[in-house]
Amino acid sequence: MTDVERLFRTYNAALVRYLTRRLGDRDWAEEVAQETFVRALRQESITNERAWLFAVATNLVRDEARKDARRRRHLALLAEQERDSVSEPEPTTLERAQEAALARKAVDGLAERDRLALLMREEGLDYAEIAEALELSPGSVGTTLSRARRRLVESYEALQQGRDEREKNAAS
Amino acid sequence: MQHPDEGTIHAWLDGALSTEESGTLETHVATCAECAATVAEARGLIAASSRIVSALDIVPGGVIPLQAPPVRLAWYSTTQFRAAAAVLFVAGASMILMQGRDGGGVEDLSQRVMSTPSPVATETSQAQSADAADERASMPAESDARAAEPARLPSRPQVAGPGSPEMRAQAQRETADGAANAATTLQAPAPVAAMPVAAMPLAKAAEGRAAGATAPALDNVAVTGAAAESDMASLRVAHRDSTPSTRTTLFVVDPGVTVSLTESFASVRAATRARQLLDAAPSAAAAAPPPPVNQNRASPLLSISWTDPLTRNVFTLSGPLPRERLEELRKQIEARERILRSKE
Repeated sequence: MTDVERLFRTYNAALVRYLTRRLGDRDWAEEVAQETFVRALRQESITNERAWLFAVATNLVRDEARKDARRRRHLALLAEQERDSVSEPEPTTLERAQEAALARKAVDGLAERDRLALLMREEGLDYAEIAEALELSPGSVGTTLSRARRRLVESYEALQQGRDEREKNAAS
Repeated sequence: MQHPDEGTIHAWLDGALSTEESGTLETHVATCAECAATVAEARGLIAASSRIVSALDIVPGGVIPLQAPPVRLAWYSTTQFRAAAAVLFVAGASMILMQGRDGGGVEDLSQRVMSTPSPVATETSQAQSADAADERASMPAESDARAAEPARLPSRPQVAGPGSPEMRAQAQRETADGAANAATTLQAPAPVAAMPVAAMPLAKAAEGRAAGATAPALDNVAVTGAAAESDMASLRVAHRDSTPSTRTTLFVVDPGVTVSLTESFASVRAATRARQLLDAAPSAAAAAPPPPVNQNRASPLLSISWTDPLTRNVFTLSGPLPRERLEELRKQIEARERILRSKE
């Protein structure tokens, strides 16, 4: 197994989930993740793999970088194999879809850095990795995360309240 | 010590502080009502934002999803139970028929029936073999055995997962005996409380079958309760702490290794309510116990989160354990939740 294959198998699921949450589009997320692994191929050495991958993926989203078609085909194959081994998510109910839409709105409303730090943390990155990926000082990660969490919960709650009130008005 | 800022508290709860720093903070929080309230709130925020972020994973398909929420089957209408009941019916009916003709043929026939090479039969007989092994260990006097159960439980918690090689090997060793012993299972309800945690889901079907076949008067609720107790005993609860939005339970999984389970209730609003309550009653907050982190910082603190499909509550399990181990514990906790719920 080549090194990029190992990287792919270790980090692809988390990276795709992170990117899907970031972008709201699974296909796009997979594309960016694959591009990230292509970049990793070209890299001589990587000190902290996870921080590096998340940083590059984040920058790729920002730059909408160009791609390497041949390598991606190989990775697309790997992705397909992996998808086969992962069970499909349970079917979406209307209620859950609404919840997802509210969550999307609330997450999109965060400042970019807060959002990225939070999404990385949810993928299990530690403070040092988040600091490295986002070029933050390690001491400020806690502050960034606490702000992100507070704002996210408050804005989600406000959105939920707004929706409930609209529903109440519609009912009466 | 100065009051720590919110960022430091989040860093602490995320396990990002050094042992020294978290020690200082822990001491301070134990005596400062204001900071204890901030810590409680921070925990709520962490759990709630985790839940909101995981809601992003629900990507709607191309159709308008208008289906009813999934209906949870009662324990007696699961496929496993039905399969077990079918096997039992055939075995039981055959025994009655054979007894009418020739008592000596019973053993042979039941063996033939039990070793039918269908996937269902294999699964069932494995459950039986696990349970037959335990049965032999705890025979005779099954009702006394059940009453004395807590005393006999191993002091070191059992964490064998369903896939534990040890278990499986044992199950395979016992498969042959299990088939022969099936007849015993028919006559005496298994001492359910003695069953290993890993056998729980299948064991539940077996338990229903035994009860239905031999003792209609057997109190099923009581049996389930005993099973739940044994299950919980293997996850020893060290401490509980509730706020209106979350419930935190500390489990001791190994000597000196504690994991914390935070259940964040589906309403995000509760997180805010928790704060209002704590602000209003700082004395209650002062009594808040030391947080779960920094129990024994030998290995880094890992967390896994999941959402209960039924209640939509979010569980966060953290402890200084490898991810696989946390996943194992999660399975146990979910099984425990299921049992507790079916008891209600």
